[in-house]
Amino acid sequence: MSQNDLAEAIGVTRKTINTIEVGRFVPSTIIALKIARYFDAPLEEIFSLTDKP
Amino acid sequence: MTNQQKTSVAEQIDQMMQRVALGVFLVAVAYAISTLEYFVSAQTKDILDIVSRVLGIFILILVFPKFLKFVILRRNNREACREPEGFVVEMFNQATGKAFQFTFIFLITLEFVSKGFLADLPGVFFVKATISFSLAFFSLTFFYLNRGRNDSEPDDNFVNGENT
Repeated sequence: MSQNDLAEAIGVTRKTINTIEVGRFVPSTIIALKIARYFDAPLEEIFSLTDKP
Repeated sequence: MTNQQKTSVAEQIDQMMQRVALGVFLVAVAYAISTLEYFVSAQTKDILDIVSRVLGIFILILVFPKFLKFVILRRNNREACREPEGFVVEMFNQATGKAFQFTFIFLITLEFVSKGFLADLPGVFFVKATISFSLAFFSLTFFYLNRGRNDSEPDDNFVNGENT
């Protein structure tokens, strides 16, 4: 699948998906939940906190 | 409403935001020109007046059609416009916050400067200078935060979160 497909599915732009993917943009709870719903996976399987060094 | 339509709404909102930021930058330039008028001769001032007016018309041509399109889009696609805010909207909000903070610092700086070598200038000069700074700071911050690839560029395919 492409970033465009996911963007279309959750009603955001491809730039939003791209910046989430590269870690430049932290999505809102609504976007995160929509992505999780789209992949039919628990939220923590898609997003996770990075441990502090 | 199809998903394709929703995406196009999101993209149009982003494009509108970018156009507004560009318009804001040009307004900042127009204000900067009007602050310059206090330091130049009468002849140069007339030229700057003309430049300001041309810039004003250009801003209207640049921003108004996009804004009108957005108003119509919003009226016809209320559901799609309620979709979560994406990257560009977030950067727009961040730029607004940073511009407010730095405008405050600018005002404090201006207060000190106005007691010194700018003491003879009228109050309206400082108002124009502050507006110019604030708008320029906002738009340049937005352009910086929003830098990078645009949606028109080739797509990255990824499966299960990994690029292919």
